[in-house]
Amino acid sequence: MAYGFSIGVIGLASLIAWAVQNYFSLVNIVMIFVLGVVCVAFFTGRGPSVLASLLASLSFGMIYVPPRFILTAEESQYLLTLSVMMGLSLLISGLTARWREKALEAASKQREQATLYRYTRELAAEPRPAQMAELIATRLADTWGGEVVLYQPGDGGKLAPVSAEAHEAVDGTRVGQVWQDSQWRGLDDSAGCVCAPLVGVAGAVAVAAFVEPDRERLRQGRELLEAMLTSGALALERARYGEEAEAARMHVEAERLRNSLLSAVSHDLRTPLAIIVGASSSLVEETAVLTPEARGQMTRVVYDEANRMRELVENLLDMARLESGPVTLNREWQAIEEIAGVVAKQMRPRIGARELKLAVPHDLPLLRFDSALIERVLVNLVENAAKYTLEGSRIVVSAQDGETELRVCVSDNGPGLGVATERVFNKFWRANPEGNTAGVGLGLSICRSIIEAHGGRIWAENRPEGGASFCFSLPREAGDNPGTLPTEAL
Amino acid sequence: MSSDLIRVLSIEDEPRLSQMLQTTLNAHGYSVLTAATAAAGLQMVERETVDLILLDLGLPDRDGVELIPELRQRSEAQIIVVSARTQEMEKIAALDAGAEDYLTKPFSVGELMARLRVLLRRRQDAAVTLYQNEALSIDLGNRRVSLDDEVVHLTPTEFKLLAVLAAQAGRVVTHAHIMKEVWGRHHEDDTHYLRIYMRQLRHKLEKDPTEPRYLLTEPGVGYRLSAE
Repeated sequence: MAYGFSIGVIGLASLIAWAVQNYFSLVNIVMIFVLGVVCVAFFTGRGPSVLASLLASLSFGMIYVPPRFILTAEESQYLLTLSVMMGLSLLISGLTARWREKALEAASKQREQATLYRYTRELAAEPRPAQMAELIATRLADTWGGEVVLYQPGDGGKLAPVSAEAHEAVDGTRVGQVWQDSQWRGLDDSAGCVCAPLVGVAGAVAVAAFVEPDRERLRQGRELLEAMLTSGALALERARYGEEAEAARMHVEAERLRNSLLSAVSHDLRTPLAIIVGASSSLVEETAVLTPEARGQMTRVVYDEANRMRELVENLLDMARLESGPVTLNREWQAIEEIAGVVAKQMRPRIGARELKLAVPHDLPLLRFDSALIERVLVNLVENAAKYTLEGSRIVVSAQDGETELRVCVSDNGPGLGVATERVFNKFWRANPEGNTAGVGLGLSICRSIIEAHGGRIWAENRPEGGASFCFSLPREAGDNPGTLPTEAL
Repeated sequence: MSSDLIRVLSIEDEPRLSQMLQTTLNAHGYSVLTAATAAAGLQMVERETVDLILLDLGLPDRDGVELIPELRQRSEAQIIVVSARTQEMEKIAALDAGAEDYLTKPFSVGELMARLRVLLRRRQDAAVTLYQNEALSIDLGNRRVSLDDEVVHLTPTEFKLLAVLAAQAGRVVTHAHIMKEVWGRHHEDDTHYLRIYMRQLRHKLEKDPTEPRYLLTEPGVGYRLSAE
């Protein structure tokens, strides 16, 4: 194609020269051909440039130098013209060829840089070791073609491929050898895989096996390849340390919780137990001495304290269950007013001289949620409201239809919350740790776990008219609320 | 009411709980037999006639739910299952397998007695055709429902739903059972229909639909038409 260009340009130059031959002298006409040759040399390589020089000389010599249209050997002075033109074209095409080479080289280097930047950025953004290993293998394959399998030591220290299928074409022993001495293998062979080590700060971290590789390409891009392998190794190391740090942190956190739990439980179980033992021992040992009223009172005390312990134990068990793994929700279509009604009935006897009012419209859209768990949330919220308000206070359970969610609130007209509206939902958080209010501080934390498992939010705020409001939202899924049915005739 | 004592069989492996049940039931005039394992329970049922069975779902030797069909084969006694709070699924399975009602541990004596009373009343009225409770009156034979002596108009589905609950008045009816009876076998999972119709029923029959007096919700299990 370049040769065609070459011929074309010189042909054009000839035509132009022919057109202006009556206006310019030969000396100037030769310049047109020189220009043509330079043009070709600028845009193409050596071959076409040489062709252009030859054609230009021939054309000029034949057409313009007398005798015209005949090539004679005596025109030795035009040998000078030809040599000069040839020299010029070789020089210029040589220069432009080198310039083009440099430009291509620079562009290729820039691409390599870009690849490397993108690759290191991606590695930096991926915290999980498994995904990181996959990323490394994928990017290496993207850049050098073919398939790449990454091998890392698995459990027990044996090298294993990161993705499920170990490539049959990979020679396991070769991979093992590379792992041992961190040296490349296979690059100088003519067949088989090429295995390269990923070496980090603390030694070899993984081995990359290039299956059916383009060896030439690998050799040429060796620098970039080494850079990618090293980045990969460092990233894998970082990820592993990250995981270890996270595990350590969780261990510390678990310790802390366990200690909190033990201290909270020991206090909050011992107190009611002490009362129960005391009251019941009195009933057992001193029945004769007690008046019927006293006996009644003791019995009542045993009943109340036993219930208190039961609630605490139920909270603890719930907490353990919710924490022990992903919560499996038993989601069914529910009408929130049914659950609220059940909770109201259940809780009225338990909140003493407080008023419990329901403000739940009876035509709210149906929602899919776990009724037992949401019932628990409402029970805990009402219990909490009762615990922190005085006798005679009012507790209101209300529900509202939002566009994308259902919002339920348990509000009271008590003293309200302190500043800690966020922290109340933390485990073992107590408003008044040294006070007499029973409970370990788990109730709200359980509510949060349950609501979050449903994909909702839970929050607490102070009401402008005084008192606190604990609200949660349950998201409405798309296609929710088959709230109406075709009407039937009566 | 027959003059014989009502005989209750308690199949419960926790000895102290068993003791407590026995004492309480005796105090209320019931005659109590006890068994501590499923095997012993089955033997007891074969040897003796009992009127009611209190079955703990957490027995050591057998799955309580599996036991129910076998108990029913050997006896006409009605079964109340006793389960722990976390045994939701087992509870529902037990009800669907033929248990009449359930109690959740820990339960109060009042709850226990209420359940027993309901079941015993049923024994006497073989087929329930009339339900009467305070202001609500349901005549299944004549398909008439009235509130404070004023007739309430229900759609055919609403009536069918109410009838299913009334036929088992005082006892819990599971979602699955209701769905099957009212909408047919293929609609057992269409709980949203049930919710909507229960809402409509409450709306028509209850003074305060949010805190119903008659149509009680048993969350996660089913519904119960109150018998008291």
